[in-house]
Amino acid sequence: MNASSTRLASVIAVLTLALAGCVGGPATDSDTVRARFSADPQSFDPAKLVGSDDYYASRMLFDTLLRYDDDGDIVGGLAEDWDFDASGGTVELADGATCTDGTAIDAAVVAESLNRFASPDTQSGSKILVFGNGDVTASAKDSNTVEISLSEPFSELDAGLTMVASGIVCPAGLEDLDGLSSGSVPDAFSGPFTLASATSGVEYVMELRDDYDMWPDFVSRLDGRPPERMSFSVGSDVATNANEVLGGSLDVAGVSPTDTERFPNVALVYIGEQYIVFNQHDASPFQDEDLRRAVARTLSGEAYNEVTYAGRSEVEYTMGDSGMQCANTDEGLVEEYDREAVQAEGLLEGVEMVYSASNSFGPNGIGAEYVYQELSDAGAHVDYQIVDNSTWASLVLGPDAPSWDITLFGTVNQTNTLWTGVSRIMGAPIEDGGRSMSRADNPEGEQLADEIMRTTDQDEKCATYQELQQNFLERVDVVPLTASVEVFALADGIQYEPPNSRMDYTAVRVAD
Amino acid sequence: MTSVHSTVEGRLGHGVPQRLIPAWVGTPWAWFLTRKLGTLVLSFVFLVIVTFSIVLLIPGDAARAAAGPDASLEVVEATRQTLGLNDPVWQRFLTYVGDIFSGTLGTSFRVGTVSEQIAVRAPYTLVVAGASIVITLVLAFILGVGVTVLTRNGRRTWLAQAFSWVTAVIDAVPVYVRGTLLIILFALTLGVLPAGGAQQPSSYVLPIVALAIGPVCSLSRIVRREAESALQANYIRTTEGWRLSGRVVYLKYLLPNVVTAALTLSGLMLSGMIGGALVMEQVFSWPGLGTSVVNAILTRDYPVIQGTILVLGMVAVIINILIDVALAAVDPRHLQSRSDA
Repeated sequence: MNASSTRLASVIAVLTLALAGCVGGPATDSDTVRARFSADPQSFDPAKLVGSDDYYASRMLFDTLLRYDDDGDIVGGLAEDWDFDASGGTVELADGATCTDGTAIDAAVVAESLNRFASPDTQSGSKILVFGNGDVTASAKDSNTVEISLSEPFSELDAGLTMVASGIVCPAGLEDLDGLSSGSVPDAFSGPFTLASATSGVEYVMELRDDYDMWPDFVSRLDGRPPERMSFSVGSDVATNANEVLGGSLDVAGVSPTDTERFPNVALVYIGEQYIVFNQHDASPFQDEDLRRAVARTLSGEAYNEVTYAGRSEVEYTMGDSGMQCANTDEGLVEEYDREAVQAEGLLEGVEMVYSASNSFGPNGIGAEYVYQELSDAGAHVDYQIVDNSTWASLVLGPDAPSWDITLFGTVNQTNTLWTGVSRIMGAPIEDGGRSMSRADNPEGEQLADEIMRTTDQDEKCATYQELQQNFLERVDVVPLTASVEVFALADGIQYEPPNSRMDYTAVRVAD
Repeated sequence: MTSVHSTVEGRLGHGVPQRLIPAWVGTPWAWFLTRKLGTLVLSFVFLVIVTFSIVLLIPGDAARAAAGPDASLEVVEATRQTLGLNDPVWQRFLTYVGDIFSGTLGTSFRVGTVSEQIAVRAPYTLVVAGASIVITLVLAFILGVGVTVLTRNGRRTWLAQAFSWVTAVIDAVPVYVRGTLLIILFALTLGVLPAGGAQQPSSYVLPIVALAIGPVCSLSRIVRREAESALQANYIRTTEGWRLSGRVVYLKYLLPNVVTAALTLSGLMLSGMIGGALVMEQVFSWPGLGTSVVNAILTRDYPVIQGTILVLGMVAVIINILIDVALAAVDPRHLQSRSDA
């Protein structure tokens, strides 16, 4: 090699080193757990939560009166005791809870926060799941007791008050609602963490409060210590998340269910449920129960689970998972899978239908694709509309009833109740101000749903729920498929046991 | 042949006293910059109209996306009213234009103004794209000219072959595949660099390399071809006849002649690099404008979509204008418009 080629080689070598060699590896800090939001939280106002990451962030910042424990039972959060019936009830607050600025969380603070959440002026989309359809009044009976009155019967109040949307906002937050939404009011928080910094698209840092001592018993029992700080970067690519956990630049991140074998340490989190819903409007072919039954026989929960979640989710036999209170686990109530018979008998041959689905189920929308393929194989003429989540929601949850006939529906079940799903097929239709998207004519089911809303005895309620589930499963108003799950990969030294398999970053622990 | 000066004087010469015209007005540079300014203004107007129009074509209901899937129709309608989505199209357009000139670029349907969001995100995209551009220009000229000199007159044919093969193969690999390969090598296998995110300074390395390595290969091939042609030219032979040193020949006489053609193509290449940066951001979960606009599309945050695409479009236009200015500075023949030339 002559002198000039040596010089050239040296230049290239130096530049290569400058680009790749002279940098350190991934940074680590045992006090900070590095996690990832899939998208920027759209609001830090618990009443205004929309996306999954909104819920995850607010769960860290705001405590609720009640919570689910690791067995799926409702336990106290800020509340020590409670007594509800279908028209409301009272809540006794635990001692010692404070806001970030030291303000005591007494009955007046709680009542003010709940009234603001339930007010029509707040326009919270979650209010109906926490308090039902009617008007709500919360008042301080004494400094430690909150009284809640509901104008319409609603027996799911205890489950509703576990929902982070009902999280208690401290007075400083209520005085500056814009700041509350943007996360810029540090004294608004009642939960174990505060929002130390929020840089859109880049990083959200939550810091553990020194003075926080309201951990529920089941969280207190977790091994390890809560992280002093959690730093959330933002990114939606699960493959990159997996690479970063393996590469050491992330500690907790959502990964694809098909990727889990790369990790020794994963946590499975239930988000909600997935099922087929039929729109039974006047012009829909699915006013015919036989057609609904034929569709149910062509679809297999096991097969759906395999293609969408690599078999890692749970096949469901109602609009909830087996751990949900009052959920049906009797496989016999669900239509038996027999696609060959449906095809041989030509039950769906030539049936025209509009099938609307979101591409968010499984990798590249494979879940929606599975349903389409089975319907097509059965001879149906399917107008297949696979769109992104926002477009799907506009189509299916909008007022234009005839725009679709059948959809693959996925709930984000924050209350962890059957009611979240049931209210989508019972009661007033969407265009009349209700939640029902099925528009089914089911007076017997409506009667049972009404009874459930008036029943507070748990055994009686579950018995009625069982009747109701039998009702809508026999009518095939829905075809249950699987639970919606997310898989989180964990780095070495991180422990995470999601309480009741529901997402809650406050249960993340660092093992020393 | 018509000179540049006579053309300019012909355009200005009617009815205006010569003493009232500043000396610089008639210069080729003044006309050149005026044309470029016109291009800038027209591009801006075009982009404003296009960015406003495209959101009208996006399916789905922005009010439903903002209110959430559990919101009742009443809440969705109230949200629509709050976001101004019930206003007539002409009124929304005027609001959009007003927001542009106010500097806010509008208010996000989520949090804050669009300009605030761009101010946070843009540095991440611009640092990566800018570093890639600099690296591309520097390395492409070093590699292109270097390989040409080393392989001149049939020497080191193995190097010429290797250069052609390696650069062709790397250039043919899409940016997202290059990014993934780099992650596998440097993050997962060697463990020396983070696989994604932007939490630490070393996070910048892989995105920049992924983005720059393709253009380095394609531009260095162009530089090499131009340099080979230039080395055959009479003026190079003349300089060698004068027995000037190699350094003087290559730096003073060869390089300026190679730069002109390469810069012309690099304008298009560098604009494309902005697009490549947006793809790269997805691979590396990079918090730049690309991920911002993708998220905005998914959540139907119209003002962020409009504002971000407008800014990115203007950056691409400005890069091309700067390249034209650089070309004109290197070679004054570029001061003429194409029709004059």
